Amino acid sequence: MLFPTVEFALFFAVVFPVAWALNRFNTAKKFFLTAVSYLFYSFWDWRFLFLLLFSSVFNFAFGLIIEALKHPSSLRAQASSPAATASGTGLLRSARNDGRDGARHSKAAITLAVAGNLALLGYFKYYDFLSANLSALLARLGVQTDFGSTGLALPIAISFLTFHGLSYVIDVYRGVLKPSHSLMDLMLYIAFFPHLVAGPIVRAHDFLAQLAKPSDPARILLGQSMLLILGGLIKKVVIASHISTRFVDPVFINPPDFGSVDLVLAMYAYAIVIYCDFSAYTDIAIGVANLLGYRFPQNFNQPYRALTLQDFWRRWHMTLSGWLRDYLYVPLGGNRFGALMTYRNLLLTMGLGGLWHGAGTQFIVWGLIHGAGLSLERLLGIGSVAGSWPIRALRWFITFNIVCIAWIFFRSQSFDAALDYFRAIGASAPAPALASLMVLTLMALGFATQFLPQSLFTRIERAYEHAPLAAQIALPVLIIWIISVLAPAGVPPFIYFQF
Amino acid sequence: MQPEENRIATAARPLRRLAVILYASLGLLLLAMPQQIADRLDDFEPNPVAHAAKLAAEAVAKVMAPLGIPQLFGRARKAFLEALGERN
Repeated sequence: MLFPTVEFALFFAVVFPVAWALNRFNTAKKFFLTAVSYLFYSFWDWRFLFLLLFSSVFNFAFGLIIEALKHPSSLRAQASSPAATASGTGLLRSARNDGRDGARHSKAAITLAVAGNLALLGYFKYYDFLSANLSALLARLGVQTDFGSTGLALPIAISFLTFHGLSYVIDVYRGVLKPSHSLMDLMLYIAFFPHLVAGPIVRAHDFLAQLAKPSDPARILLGQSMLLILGGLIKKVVIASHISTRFVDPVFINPPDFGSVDLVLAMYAYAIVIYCDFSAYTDIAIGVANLLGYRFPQNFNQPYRALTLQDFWRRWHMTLSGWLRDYLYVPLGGNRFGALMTYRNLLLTMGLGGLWHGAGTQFIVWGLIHGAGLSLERLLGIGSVAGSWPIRALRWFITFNIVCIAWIFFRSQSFDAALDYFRAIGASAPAPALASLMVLTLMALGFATQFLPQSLFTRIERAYEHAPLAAQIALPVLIIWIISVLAPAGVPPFIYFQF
Repeated sequence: MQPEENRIATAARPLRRLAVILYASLGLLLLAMPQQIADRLDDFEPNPVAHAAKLAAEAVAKVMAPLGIPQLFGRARKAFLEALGERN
């Protein structure tokens, strides 16, 4: 079920009143939201509901186990919990026998929990990739092997639910978060339908705290939610879908058929497409969650106005870059052990971040380009966004083009296909551009969103909040009507669904 | 009533306003482009709810047709597709 569809509108029209009607009965509301989130997920493939359930139970159990091992004095109380007893008897008994080994045992437990989460992701997402690459490597050495394949479709949202699961158990281990004693809370945290499929990545301590009590309707940001939802619909349905189907997809499918001008234009066009597509999803998710009484963190902040790559990652998929920083870069040592180790950590973090996006060399290369760029910025001491306007303009130009060139790897079907794209740019004649006026206009529109002042959005939000009821109704009707007129025949799925 | 519950009860007004906006918008969209919605409901896996919703949308389309409002959407859509050199 996609956000910009009649199906989702009907789904939300039912979920919204029931959720708020149950608001005073918080447990009932959470049960209802969990059930509808599972229903939402089942629209893709009901069989993967078991995966969702397993992830929730697994992380719930390990949260309790880790806490119990860290604080053996609380073991007796914890041990009476059926879930803890069922899933962690061995570890609990071990800690009971020797409380002084708590730190060692809790470290073993978090290692198991992280390994379990990664094993699940690895099996579904990376097994086939590793199997094929290992077989190819051995074949070069003259050893013929076949590790086979899972033969399974990639479960939608598996990357995001893994991130949420890891965030929870690691925060419990670090003492940032008390483990949840409600399996339903954790099920809802991992499965909550607005963020389930493509984020934003919500931190467990942020979301679980919101589940502790009934939502306050006064916390609904009506203007902001409407702007996010309607803006997201425009970005996805009108801008991203048209540019993608009319220009970017044909060019990337067969680059040699196009001239160098179109190839370069398609690179910039894809930068607009992926921004409008992905930010649309998370904007709508944030807006929808807020209408149900929950706050999600901001995920995009005009990333293409960044003056450095460091600045870019503070603006692009902010919840992912924050996650990678806190759960990968900092544990690797961050910038604490000298320049060389910092560069290594940046390359590792961004390379793995790239691999997270997809099982393909092209994604790793995409991540490594960013890692190398971030390292180079540190080496040259150009991480600052300050300076005179010509310097700032130059920094913007370089940063934007590095980001766009890297997107070629991200968009291509393989590493070789990306190289073919670059070869085609170099080899093809500068033939007349085939990009239509409509595509160029939409590109300009998408690009313009990056440079609008934040104060404009704030003013629109306030104006909507204070508008008469009739205007508050007329605006979404008019915008959705216009979007429907301008929509392509079929809206393609969001790009990040595949991750 | 507990203080927290009391505060939430008094804050219910924005919720009512939001509900009015949500359902009035959906209702007006149904009146403005009923056939479009009925066509989209065809994409559902066959089920009683989708069938009933489709019948309702088609009934609205019949009622609204003499007023000319749904045709406005059709004309705008046709003009857009013609401008692109496409047929629906």
